[in-house]
Amino acid sequence: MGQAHTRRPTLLIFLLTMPFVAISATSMIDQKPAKKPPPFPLSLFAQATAEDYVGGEQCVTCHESYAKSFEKSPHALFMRDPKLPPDKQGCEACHGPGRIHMANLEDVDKISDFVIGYTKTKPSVGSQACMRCHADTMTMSQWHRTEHARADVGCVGCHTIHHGPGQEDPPKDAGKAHEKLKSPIFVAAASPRKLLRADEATMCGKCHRPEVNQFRHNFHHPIPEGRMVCSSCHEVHPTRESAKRSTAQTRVRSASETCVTCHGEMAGPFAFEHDTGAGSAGENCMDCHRPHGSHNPKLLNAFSRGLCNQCHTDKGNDHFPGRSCWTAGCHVGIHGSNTDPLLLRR
Amino acid sequence: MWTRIHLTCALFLFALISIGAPVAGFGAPQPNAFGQEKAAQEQPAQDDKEEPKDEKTEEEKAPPKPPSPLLLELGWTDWNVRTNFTKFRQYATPPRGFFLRELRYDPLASPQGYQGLLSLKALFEDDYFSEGRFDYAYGLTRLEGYARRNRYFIPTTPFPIPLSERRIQEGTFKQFLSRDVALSLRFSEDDQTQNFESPRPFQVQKTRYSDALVGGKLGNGRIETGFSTWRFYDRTTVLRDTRLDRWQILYAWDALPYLGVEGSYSRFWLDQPGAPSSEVEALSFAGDLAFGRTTDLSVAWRRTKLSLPVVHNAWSREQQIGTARITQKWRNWSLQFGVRQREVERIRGDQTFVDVPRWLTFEGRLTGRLHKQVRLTLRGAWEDLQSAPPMVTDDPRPLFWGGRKHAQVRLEGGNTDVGGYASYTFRRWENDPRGVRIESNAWLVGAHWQVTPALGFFAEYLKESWTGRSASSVFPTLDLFEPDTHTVVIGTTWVVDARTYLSVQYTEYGTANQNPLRLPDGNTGVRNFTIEARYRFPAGHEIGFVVAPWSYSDRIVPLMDYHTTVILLTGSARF
Repeated sequence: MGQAHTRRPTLLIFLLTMPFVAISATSMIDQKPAKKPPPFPLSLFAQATAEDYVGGEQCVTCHESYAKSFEKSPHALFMRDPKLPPDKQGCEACHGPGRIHMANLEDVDKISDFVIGYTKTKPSVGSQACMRCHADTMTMSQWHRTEHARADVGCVGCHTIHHGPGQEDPPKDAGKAHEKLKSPIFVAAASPRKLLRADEATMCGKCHRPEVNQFRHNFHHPIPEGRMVCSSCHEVHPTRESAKRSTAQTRVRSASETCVTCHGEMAGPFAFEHDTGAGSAGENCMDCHRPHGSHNPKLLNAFSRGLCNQCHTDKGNDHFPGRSCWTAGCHVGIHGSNTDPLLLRR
Repeated sequence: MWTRIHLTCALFLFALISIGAPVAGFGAPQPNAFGQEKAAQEQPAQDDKEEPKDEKTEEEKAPPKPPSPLLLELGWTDWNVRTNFTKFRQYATPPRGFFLRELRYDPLASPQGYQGLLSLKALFEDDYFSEGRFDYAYGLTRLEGYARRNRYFIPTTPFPIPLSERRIQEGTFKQFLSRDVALSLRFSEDDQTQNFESPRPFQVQKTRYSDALVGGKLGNGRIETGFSTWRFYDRTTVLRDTRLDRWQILYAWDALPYLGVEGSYSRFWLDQPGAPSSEVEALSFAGDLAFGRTTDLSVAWRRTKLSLPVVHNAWSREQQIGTARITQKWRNWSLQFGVRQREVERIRGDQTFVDVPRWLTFEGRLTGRLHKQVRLTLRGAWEDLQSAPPMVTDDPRPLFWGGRKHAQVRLEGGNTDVGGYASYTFRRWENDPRGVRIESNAWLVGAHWQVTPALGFFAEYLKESWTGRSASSVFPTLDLFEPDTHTVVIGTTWVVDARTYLSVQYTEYGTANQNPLRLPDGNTGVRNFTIEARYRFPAGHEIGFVVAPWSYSDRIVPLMDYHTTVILLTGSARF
């Protein structure tokens, strides 16, 4: 078997970059960072003594409504055990040691330097505090590499901490009542889970408007009907859901790893592969399909036989003038076949 | 029947655990483990604290009333479907007749340390979907169970076809061995029966997945290792059954507060009856380095080696992908630039030669605030294919896309009272050797206006236009198969008072398709009008009323049309 001249520019890019990273890191190590306190907000915990943790009862005196709502949160289960370390208990587990906060109440401009207030701090700052406990969901460096981190979206952008799902406070006035009562984007969308602020379509749709709008197309994945959620396909955290998907894929494809989790019949490998399905043509399943929604049946990029003609320009009208290449009973093994090199049988 | 059995089992299991846990100590908290004694010593003495001034009454000091844990939602629906029944049921949207919308038991965390959730939806529904879920945590143990069934149609023809069905059941057990180490076991099964338009035969398949993972803290990082099995069964014996075993190990190391490194290795064994065994090996590294608070560099590299003797035509024996991205922030702006290279060692269709196609991609993103209330986002990507492989077919010209371009401009502005957004997205796919160029332009504009705190309006318009061109000018040309589409959504919400809510929403969707072969599903229009009213009683109970005149029309094949006026009544009560 012959082989084309194989260069390794991919590896080259990596190898060129890594020394830069290593040198930078080494230079930082040389500065003996171990003696430096970690940056805010971890500095609050690092510098605090046991006496700095005053307990949640002190917080209630000023922040009564928040303390009440927190009692309804699933977080309360894990954070009110008196035998936990004081920096993992109650309000101070997330907001930092209370005594330091109370000692710096006078200077309003600097009040946010001594307490972690998630509505005003940067997402990257707040997320560091969350990951003190949630390292099994994501480490800090993993979070840095996510698209959400680059777009300045932190944990509390999607998750609510003080409320459990379906346990919201009763509305107090008309404006807030609107927030409590308003409908999701799709009436039948799946209920929110994992302390999410809303159902996933509504929440993700606040930023990803064009994508969510595509679910209104004539053919779509059943998110509006509540049979799927955005995280069924999209990996927000590197948790076991992603592990499941990368296991289900059989040939370490990229996008198709997700698809074959449900569409197992497309996984293969087949004796006769179609390049677009086999992962060597570029975008895998998305070479032919639009995953959110499409005006073409089967979520296709183009209507009917136009899909195949996008690449197979030599198989035009003179090849077969009928309906789609697969529905005419010809290329029925379009994703791959174990019996026919022209994919005429499955 | 299937769903009834499994949900009954789930209910029984939930009840058993709830009863047994406090008695038998099942999964009880382990208070003396993990250095908690030390922690208790470190806790400041409560007696030393200065008591805050407390001038509240006994009533004010009383703990807040916990929310009701039991929710029951019932409903009744009338479809009023005229014409094509199966097209309406394609996505199995609403239930029919009397139905259980949800029965949920969601108690607060108990002082004993257990917490649970049981949710049952639309049990015994023939259409729609039935769902049961339980989630139980006690101390360091967590159990989750999930089962769902839904039925639907795949209507590509106006003539009746049999019903399709999908059933999923999942179970997860997670046990913390220490505060930083956990073991989890998982099993899931997915059964699908799909019926298609003739002559395509029906499809009955099952996939099973199970895994065992152990993960925990190691040094200043986290290690995770596990074994998983995925199986695919085709009950129609058309496709080969497949078994995939995988072992993996991953270590994510936060080396320094500003440096993180991650490495993973996994190995797959793939078996199909009557075919030689295949193997896959994947190795990946990733790193992130923060230069202060404003600059962040991420790199990643992954190599996958494949051995697929089962394949007789073209396949990839090795894939590599490397990415580097740098993000710079200043004030209210953020700039991101990345480069990605992917290369594949692809064995040609006749298995005589190895080609190495290579994709080089540059991507950028700039986002920031033009004004305190106006945000601008520019993003783009440019991809080029080098060394495109020739095809072993009648026409040897490459079939791969030689270039892909993507650009997007987004502008968002306003406040909670008045706001709007607009975006323009451009995409292009090119295959120069075959003279193919496909372009897509999408415009999206939307706005909301909160006239008063109680009354608001919103509107959104999306227009997508597609063009296609190829070297072939024989009718029907490629452009005739690239339809345009538009979507309009207009709505209003009115909070009549603190307990009454009213919303009206109109959605219109249409395609402009030249459809030279006069096929169904090509020239369609949808008009959905939905009126919803809800009232919440002081005790938390709620009633709802929905009227939804929906219509779907196919201008080429009117037999695909449906017209309906769905009426939905719901009532929910908390106990």
